Amino acid sequence: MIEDELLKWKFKAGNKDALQRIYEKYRDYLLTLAMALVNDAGLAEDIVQDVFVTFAQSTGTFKLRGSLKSYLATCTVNRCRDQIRANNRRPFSLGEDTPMQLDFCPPDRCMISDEQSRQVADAMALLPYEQREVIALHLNAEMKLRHIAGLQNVSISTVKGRYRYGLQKLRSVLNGRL
Amino acid sequence: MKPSEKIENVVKKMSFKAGPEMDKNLWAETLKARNEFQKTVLVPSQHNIWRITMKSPITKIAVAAVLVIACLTGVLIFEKTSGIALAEVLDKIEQIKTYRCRMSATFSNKDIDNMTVSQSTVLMSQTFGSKMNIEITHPITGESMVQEIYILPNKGTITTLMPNQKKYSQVNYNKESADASQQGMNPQDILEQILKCEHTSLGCSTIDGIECEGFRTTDPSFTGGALGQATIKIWVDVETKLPVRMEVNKGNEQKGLVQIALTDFEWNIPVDAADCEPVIPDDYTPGQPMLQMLPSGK
Repeated sequence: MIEDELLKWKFKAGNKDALQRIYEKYRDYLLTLAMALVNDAGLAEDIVQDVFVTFAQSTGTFKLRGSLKSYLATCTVNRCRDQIRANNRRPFSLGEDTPMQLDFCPPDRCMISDEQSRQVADAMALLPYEQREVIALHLNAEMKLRHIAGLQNVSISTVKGRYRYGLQKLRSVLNGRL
Repeated sequence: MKPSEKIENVVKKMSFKAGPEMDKNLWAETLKARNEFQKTVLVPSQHNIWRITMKSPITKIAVAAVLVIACLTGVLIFEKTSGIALAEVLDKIEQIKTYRCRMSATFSNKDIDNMTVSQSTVLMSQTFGSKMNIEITHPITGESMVQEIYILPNKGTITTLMPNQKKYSQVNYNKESADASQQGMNPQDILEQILKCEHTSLGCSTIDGIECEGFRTTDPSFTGGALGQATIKIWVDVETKLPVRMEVNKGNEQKGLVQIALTDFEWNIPVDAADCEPVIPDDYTPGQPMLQMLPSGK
């Protein structure tokens, strides 16, 4: 997109407004992606903050020939992986008595979402991480399966398999809930 | 809808948004990181910024279009014509000795709304030549660059002053070399193509408070292919029979639309030789202009 190309150049030139526009444009997109991957409002906020802080510090040295959107999504995915590995966090189980963390947030600090989004995030948390990542990147981040295969360093047929199995499991989990 | 498609749609619709406090914190941390880092980063030099300017495809398109339209305007004003539908207008234009107008180039698409890329003032004199002040706004930094271009047909010179850099350029040109290098783009060729174009009436409308009749052509031969497929509109004052507004629209909203507009026409204004004569300040040094109106005869 032409706007993103302008924003990239402008950001590289040190323009604060460009950074703010990028932040506003992709903030919720990255939060949704992070929530799809970690299903934890606090952790998702930390991850997105880390992505933007690191991005903001790349002013002047920033070089990107490809899509800004994909770049930020990839940064988010990498941090999600790091966080999951470092914290050894496990996704919330989808028990009726397991409230999502965001329910404990003060209202003005919470993420804003609808009930269906919370249910889908809960359901995705039950998937193996690789399957969840493929689904989130393909459906939420709008990445092509070939690109995801490169990110996961596996063949495209493996990615297709993960996607198919992930969808099947989601369907069985969400069946009757939505 | 297949079950898998339904699930895909449900996942696609998943949305989480930052609440006000989260948003405030996220942006505050981002800005803080940026400000701390900025203290240690060198600001790109002015030289680099201008190099970026001409690498911008938007600027290039706008600059190219401005130059073509400038040329075209001169054709419309000063060349003898024998059109039919616009004959009355062209009769009036043939009587014009001088004029001044403004020219602007804007860019729009679904994300950008009317970003002004360049603005110019054009002064044309059939006797003395022409002077054009062009201000190009950097599409990224918002900085502007100014060039003054003087074309003196009697002397065969093109002089460009670059106040930002305190530089100037002066080249000689002759009609033969310009014709050879601008085959299909010289005024005569353009004029012939204009006269070959099919154009339609847009009816009457009020433009800038003036009752006008509009004409339009989409014939790609209009500019000898220089602008490719474009829509050209001319609005003419029904009383004076002189143009009030001329537009060239190229592209579309999806891919990007460049609009060049010539407005604020002043006809037969007093112009003397000094108005078109460049004055090169003593502290200016020779340099290469970013824009070159015509190829040098050298």
